[in-house]
Amino acid sequence: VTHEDSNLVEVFDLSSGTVREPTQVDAIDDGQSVGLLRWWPWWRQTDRLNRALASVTAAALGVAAVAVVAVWRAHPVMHRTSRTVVSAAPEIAVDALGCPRASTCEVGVARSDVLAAALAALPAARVTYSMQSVDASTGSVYRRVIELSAPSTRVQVVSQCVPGSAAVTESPLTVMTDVGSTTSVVSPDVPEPSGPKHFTVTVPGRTGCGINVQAETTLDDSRFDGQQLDVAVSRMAQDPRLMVTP
Amino acid sequence: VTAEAPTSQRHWTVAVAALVAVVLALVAASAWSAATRTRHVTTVVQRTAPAAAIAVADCPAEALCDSSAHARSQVVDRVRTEFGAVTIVSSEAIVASDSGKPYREFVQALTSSGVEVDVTTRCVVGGATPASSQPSAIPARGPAELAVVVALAQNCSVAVVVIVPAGVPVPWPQALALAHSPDLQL
Repeated sequence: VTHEDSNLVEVFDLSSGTVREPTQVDAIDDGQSVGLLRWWPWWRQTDRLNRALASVTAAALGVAAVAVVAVWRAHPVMHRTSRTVVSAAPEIAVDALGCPRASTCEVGVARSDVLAAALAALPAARVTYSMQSVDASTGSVYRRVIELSAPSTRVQVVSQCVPGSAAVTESPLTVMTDVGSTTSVVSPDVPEPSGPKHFTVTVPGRTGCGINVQAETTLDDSRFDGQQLDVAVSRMAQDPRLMVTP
Repeated sequence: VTAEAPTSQRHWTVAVAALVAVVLALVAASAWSAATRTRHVTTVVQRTAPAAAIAVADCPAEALCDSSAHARSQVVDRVRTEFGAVTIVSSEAIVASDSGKPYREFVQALTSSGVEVDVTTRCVVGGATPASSQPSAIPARGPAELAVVVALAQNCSVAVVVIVPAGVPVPWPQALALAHSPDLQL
């Protein structure tokens, strides 16, 4: 006897005429297991139309869910962060003569036209020293030092190019006077005190290049007053023939 | 024994099965999307630190230096030890005003045979360790202009340049000994 509500059947024992308990009927239901697979018998008992309907419904919903997620993913939540990685500055290695580590250099005296340019600014001087460091393969001058000597006056012109170096800092002409043990910067508005003077100026060239001219008077010499030397030092610093170029 | 369930119950079963399938699909989809919907975009900007500026006059831009007309006495003494009686033509030192730390020393000497010996010790602020170097071939006699460079610790080096007149023997062993002398190290 089939019960509509409980999906159970009552089984009559024809020999004894007794009715078995409904709970026991589950155990013999189709000879299949109960519990986790309890839906399986029902699936099997369902007609093909319902199975197909359920399958199509489940598949359609699954596809719809995937489609929704796909659309959702197409517009993702973006978390943008920016990270700056600062790598070390390039190493600059130059030796005492101004030759970069990666180069092979030759030394020699400065060219005569360069020396002439230095002497043109201070005709009374003579060249006491000149040395330049030249790239053996390219002929580029890395560093040039020229020293001039005049009565009671000594001038040094250093020009260099260091590949990879930052721009040389410009330094305007400064005149300092040694009075006793103190050193003071001479102001153009104040009369120059007597005594030895020190002039220095640095002019940048191309990146990594520059020229520095320094002059020193050892005595309060009347032959080269401050103004004369001032002009000579400035002229040398501005002379492109004295500036080393890469 | 096979029991046939009523039709309404079968429909309900199918509906429940479909609902379970949908729930499972949604749960799976939610888990998938939660893991993939959020995107972290990290932009890495590569930047190189600015290179140091090598001072032309060997005094760093931020420092105050004194120029002295005399290198250390041990440098001059060492030149005399290696080359004998020499005339010191020029000598100077660039030192930090506050600490007295030398950035460059220079000695120009002239030997009795007319060989000019130039010694430069220099520490390049902002620089790295330079390379030692010397000529690949040393002539026996001048004329020659030869330099030997010995790298020291950090960014310092010693250079000895000999300018040899024609016909004069090249004092290369003396130049090498002078360049490697500890007395010259800053």
